[in-house]
Amino acid sequence: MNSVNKAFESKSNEIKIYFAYVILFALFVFKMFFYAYEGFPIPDQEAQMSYIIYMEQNPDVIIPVFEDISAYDVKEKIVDGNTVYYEMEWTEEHCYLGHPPLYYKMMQLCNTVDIADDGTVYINFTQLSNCNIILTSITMIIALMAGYKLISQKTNSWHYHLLYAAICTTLPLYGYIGSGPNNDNLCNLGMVIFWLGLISYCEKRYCYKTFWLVALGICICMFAKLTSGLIVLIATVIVIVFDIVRTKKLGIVLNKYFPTTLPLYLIVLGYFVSIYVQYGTFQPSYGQFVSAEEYTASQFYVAEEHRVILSFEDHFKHFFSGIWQTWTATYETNYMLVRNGWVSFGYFVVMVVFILCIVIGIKKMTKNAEEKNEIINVAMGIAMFCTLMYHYWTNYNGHKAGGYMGGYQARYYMPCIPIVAIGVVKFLQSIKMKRTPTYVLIESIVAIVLSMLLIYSDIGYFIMNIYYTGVELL
Amino acid sequence: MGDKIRNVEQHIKLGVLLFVCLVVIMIGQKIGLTDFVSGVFSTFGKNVAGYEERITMTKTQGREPIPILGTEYIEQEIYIGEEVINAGKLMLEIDVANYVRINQGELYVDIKQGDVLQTYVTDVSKITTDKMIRLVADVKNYEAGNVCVKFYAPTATSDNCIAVYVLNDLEVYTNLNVNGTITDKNACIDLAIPADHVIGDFVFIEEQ
Repeated sequence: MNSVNKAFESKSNEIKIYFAYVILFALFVFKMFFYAYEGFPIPDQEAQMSYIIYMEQNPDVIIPVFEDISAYDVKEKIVDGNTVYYEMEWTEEHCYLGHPPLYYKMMQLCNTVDIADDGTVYINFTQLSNCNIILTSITMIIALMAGYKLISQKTNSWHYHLLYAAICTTLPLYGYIGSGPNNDNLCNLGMVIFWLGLISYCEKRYCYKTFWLVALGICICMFAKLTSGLIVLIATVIVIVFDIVRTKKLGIVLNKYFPTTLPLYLIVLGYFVSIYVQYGTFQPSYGQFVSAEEYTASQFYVAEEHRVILSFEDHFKHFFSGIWQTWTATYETNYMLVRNGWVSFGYFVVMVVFILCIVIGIKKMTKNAEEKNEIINVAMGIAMFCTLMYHYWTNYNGHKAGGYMGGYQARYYMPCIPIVAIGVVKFLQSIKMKRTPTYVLIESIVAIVLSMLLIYSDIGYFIMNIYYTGVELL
Repeated sequence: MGDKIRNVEQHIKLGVLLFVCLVVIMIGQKIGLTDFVSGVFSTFGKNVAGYEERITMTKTQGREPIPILGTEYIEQEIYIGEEVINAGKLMLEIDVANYVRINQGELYVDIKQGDVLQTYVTDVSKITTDKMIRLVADVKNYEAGNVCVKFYAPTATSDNCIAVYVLNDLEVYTNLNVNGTITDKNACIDLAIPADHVIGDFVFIEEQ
């Protein structure tokens, strides 16, 4: 009788888990369609479309010539049945993006740009949105599956899964940016692939799959955006150093699997060497590939007499408050819907628990080198921190040189959200307390309340407030 | 070992489930289901914000305040279309400032078209610098076309001052009249068809 009860409980738990994932995933996908349907503008949308147009105009280009990428503005929105087109208008300015071209090539290949015989450029925005929604949805499926697997290895209560899925799917910008053209969507995919490789490596599955997942993840991240590329590179170095120190062998690189992935790394290296030779940097900034006149007239340069001069301390506050605001906000150049007060409480709790998880992980690893399970979160946490510091440093120098006050966007770290989520859940799972029914009940209530709060703070708060702000829709 | 295999099986099952979910939503998108649900969400959100449909929207950047002191006034011509007349109601969202003072007195707004004139009033102490104020007007007696909106505050003094925001943007409206001078600016007034539950900040006084 007891075993029948247990089997029933286990089945019921399994159904609840699937239900939590499916509902939150469906909400996530729907949310993206909602943003696309309403036409809410996405950060850098016109610049991203300009880069895609450049790829369409130059289909053979592998290494872009940034000074040849023109900026286009949306001239007119054309609605044809269920399809939305944008007629684009050429401007004399340059596109300010200096990112690698992989994402833009992919979007161009998805048939999103149409150039008429008279040279008029049209963007099939519905197609572009759908491609990004599919890309982001597939990323989310991989992230949820990986999380499910990791969580199920320990106490397999449904509320842990609910919390994990809620943290992954409710970061405001993840779905918002996922609904339209932005290379962050490819970073997200690269990061989860890299993460899968690391998980596989930590499970001691030394095989082609593991090494290829890591290499593919690194390659995609590097080719999508340098910030996420830097995160995966630093994390990889930490894992390699840790493994060498732990095993006192070079097995992580001297094996038969790693050399097969070298071509991928060589392609990445080739691209960046070529960019470095051309521009003297791995990612050229706007000021490096346009004329001085255009740069000084742009939003990235503020004339000395109009500059807000911030001390190091004030700039530090400005930058990190901006990072926090943009982590919890939905925004574009002309508007920002910030979550403040209790609406941002869920995101705050998640970040605090994640930082706690990193600190405890480092402590455990310094005590016992066999604590291999902690390495992923610790490596990713340190990599995020180092990248953030580098980001801060370049932002500070940029502010000193050109007076630019922007560039503090937390979306560069958005691809790490599944790792943050698993860190939080693993931390809760690691709390060693007797699992009495009361404890389980309290744990369930906390997980449900936090998940509900996150869901409200994301889409609920958005719908209830966005129409007050008067966002100019395209 | 058994647990591990079961875990892998469930993990794959979850992946299949999520993928099927994505395919179903994509099919839903093709047949217009997601658009329908998005429309419902959008209507709900707009209702919460107090309107059924936005008609015009002025830019948020580059606004500057124009004060109204004593017998001064500003007049803005706005265009209302058939959709507003058919709805029978119009909501003006006006960007007004109080110069960070607690003012006392009244702000009047006349809405005039031909012989039809409606007058509304609000207590200026309601006006804050970070909120648009709303005027909900009954437009059944108006016709589609231009309507003149006049703001004046007869009791305001230099110590007790409010301002209406304007901007150099002639895309939405033209001909802002400040104390009889026609300018190349327009007042920051957004037009919308209000939701049923909305109560404006202004009180209707009379119609002539």
